[in-house]
Amino acid sequence: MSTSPPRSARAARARRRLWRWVLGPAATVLVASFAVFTTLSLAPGDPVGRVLGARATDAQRTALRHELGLDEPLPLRYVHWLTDCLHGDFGLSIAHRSPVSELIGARLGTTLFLVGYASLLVVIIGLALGILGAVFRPLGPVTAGLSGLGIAIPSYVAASALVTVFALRLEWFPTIGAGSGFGDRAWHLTLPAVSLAVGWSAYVAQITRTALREEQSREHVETALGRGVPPAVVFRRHVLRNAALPIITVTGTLIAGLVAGSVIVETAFGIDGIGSFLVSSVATKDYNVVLAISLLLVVLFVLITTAIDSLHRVLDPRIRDRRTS
Amino acid sequence: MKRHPRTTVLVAGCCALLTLSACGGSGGKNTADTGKTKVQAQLAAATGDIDKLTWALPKGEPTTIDPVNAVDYSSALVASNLCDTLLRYNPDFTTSPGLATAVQKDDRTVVLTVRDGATFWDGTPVTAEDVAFSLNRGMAPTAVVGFVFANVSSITAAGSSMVTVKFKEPDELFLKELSTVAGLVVQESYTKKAGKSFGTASGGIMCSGPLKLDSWKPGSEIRLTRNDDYWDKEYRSHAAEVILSFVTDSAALVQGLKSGEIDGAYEVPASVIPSLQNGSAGSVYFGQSPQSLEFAVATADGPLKNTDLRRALMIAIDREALAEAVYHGAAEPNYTLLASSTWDPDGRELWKKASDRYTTENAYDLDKAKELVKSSGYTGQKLTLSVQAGDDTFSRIAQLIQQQAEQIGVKIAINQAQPLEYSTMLYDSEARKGTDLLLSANFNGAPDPLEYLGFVFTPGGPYNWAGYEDQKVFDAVAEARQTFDTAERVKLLTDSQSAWEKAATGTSLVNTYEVSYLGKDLTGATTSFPYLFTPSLALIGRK
Repeated sequence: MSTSPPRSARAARARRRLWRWVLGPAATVLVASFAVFTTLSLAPGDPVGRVLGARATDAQRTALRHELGLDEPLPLRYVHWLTDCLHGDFGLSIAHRSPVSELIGARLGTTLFLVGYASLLVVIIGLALGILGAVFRPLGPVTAGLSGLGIAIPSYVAASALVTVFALRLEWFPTIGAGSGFGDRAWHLTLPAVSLAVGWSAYVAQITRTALREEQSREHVETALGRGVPPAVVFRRHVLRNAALPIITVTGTLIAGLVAGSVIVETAFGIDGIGSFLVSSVATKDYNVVLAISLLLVVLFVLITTAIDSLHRVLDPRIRDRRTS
Repeated sequence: MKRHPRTTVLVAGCCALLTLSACGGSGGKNTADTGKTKVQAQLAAATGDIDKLTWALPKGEPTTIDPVNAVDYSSALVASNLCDTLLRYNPDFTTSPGLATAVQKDDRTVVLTVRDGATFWDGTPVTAEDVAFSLNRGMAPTAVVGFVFANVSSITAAGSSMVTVKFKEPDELFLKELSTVAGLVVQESYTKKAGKSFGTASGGIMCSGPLKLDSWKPGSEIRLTRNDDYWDKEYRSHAAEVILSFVTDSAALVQGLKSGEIDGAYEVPASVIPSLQNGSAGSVYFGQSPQSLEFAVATADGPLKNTDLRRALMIAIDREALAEAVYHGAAEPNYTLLASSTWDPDGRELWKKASDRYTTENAYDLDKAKELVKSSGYTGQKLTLSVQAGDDTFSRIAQLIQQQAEQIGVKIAINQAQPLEYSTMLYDSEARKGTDLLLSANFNGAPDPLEYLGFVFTPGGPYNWAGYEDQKVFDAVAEARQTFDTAERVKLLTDSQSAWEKAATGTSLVNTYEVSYLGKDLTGATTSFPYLFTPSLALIGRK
């Protein structure tokens, strides 16, 4: 009996892998960028007019449009953009007349720090609350109440409450800006990260608690407990491991959600990150900036989805077996 | 101050209809308080230096600091603190010699003499070549300050300190514009070397101002440091370091100012004046400014073709109430197309004499407005008023206008246009289709009404939205631009004023003040509009 699968099966597997890791994500990025490009061009308003103001002459506007390549037909502009991208050139910003990569690079660090900080808070607070609620039954209603409250508070309300108490009254934290250097940055971004984390940690707490409860009531868990296996071992091996699937899925989407939510929080705290930059660039139809940030987000989502998928396969042998057979 | 008995009713009505937070509770108290805030041009001089000044730029991060394109608030403020203008724009709106002295040799020649001893940050002297180069850049097809140079035929350096500007047609406005960003001087060699990146975060700039560009971190901040070799002792920077932050959200700005993390700001939004006046970290200041709230007819077609209907709308708005209820006192009512704050300082008395009659003729009068609506033959069509979306102050004003028009039987629908859509409307008649009225904040750079009139009353003028055509008015405006004698020029314009006021193509509802905020330990700031074109941040120091 041969242990290696037949040649045709191997080729099929390679094709599947190529699609899953390379072609699929690439197609997603391509479709998304084209959609962003065309929708943006359909929005009303002339980006050149915003730069030059109402007092400029038509000749001035035409000259700038030409300088920025905005007078080319739309499909041609897209093709140019795509070719330049493949060479690592994301073009110039219309509003800032600077390379997009420089403009984004400077802001990316801030947003990543903020989202990373918030994710950490979400995972720690969310898991802790969820596990507490599931393990210590009497605490259930308390954690459920807290989760409900957390989900109900929009991040901008949380931001304004936190600023009033911790920045203006107690003066523990600054109210605006992103700071520089690790310590200063962490200090500056604490209130923003907390306001961003409030809603999501409540959500993660709720999902965690529900998932754990569901696993706890399973027959094999009760059997194991009946057999005298220590509860801690049962919890770790059977409950936590199985409940991890929905928790991981939710954590993956939450990172995407945090990136989206950062827009509001960045504005409220006067932090110029990717989120607020995207919003202002959409408003000025700054094509290259919008495309580059969208591209970045799509790539991020593709990576997260792929990572979640891989984790699922590690944690759940059934998926692995089904897909590789 | 004279008050209409209706004012109180209107303020109360606004409270009921508009947001509670802005008007409710302390609203009445605040409007009374701001009545006492005096309008001043300059605070007492600073007595001591400070290590660091943290300042919020008026509209967030500048898009560029290249002088020839630095026409918005943030860009102009940064460029004017880094670079020198040829003529100095004083807090009282007069101009005086700056980096150069200027002489109008004859009606087609201006000669500039560059100051001795002025150097760029790198120590090299500012030469006539640098000045000629800087001015010639303004004539490039994509330079936003191009309108200043429309009548110029050549700019040449003669010798080491003389620059001669020749004109195709006489232009009295030119010299005044040299006190704005159009007159900023950059170093030729650096500018050429930086190429396209000049004036951006990566390319930087080389100038001769009292503050040097230290670093520009996109999305984060701009740092300036003191230029110890600055030629003008009066404008030597009190702050060793200036940090410019990019806060655009008004709530975040208020938090930053109240907590003292930000020392001050210009162009503070009217909506946050009450909450800043409640704080103890600093004070709000009002100064004269050639900025105004303009209410204009946006189309040559539709019901507003009728002059009576236009006039009815213009006199149906209670401008005094508007200044108090929406601007919290940071504005004064105005009754003509031309905001009085745009008059030339040396012609102010003449302008005032000729304009006083409009204060009565265009005064708030509902009965007269109703009669005009009747005689206009208006049959109840809905008029569309476009404003820029996302601006608190503007959406409140639009609602007030809508309410007041309702009182004379005119129906108005408000169109909240996205910023880009809105900015396109200002110059593209296609984009204005479906819009009958426009509400905008007008901003005059140089201390001369011709700057604004030149955009309205010229054939195809970008602000001539109503398609106004009166050759006599156009001729008067063109002739005034060629007239160097102030009295004659003002007479030409005020004589044709009755024609354009009668046409009622638009009006300035209020002159808005410059609103600034400064931390309690600081002083020295220029609080009138010329702050924008002078090294105003250099003047701020310890009390």
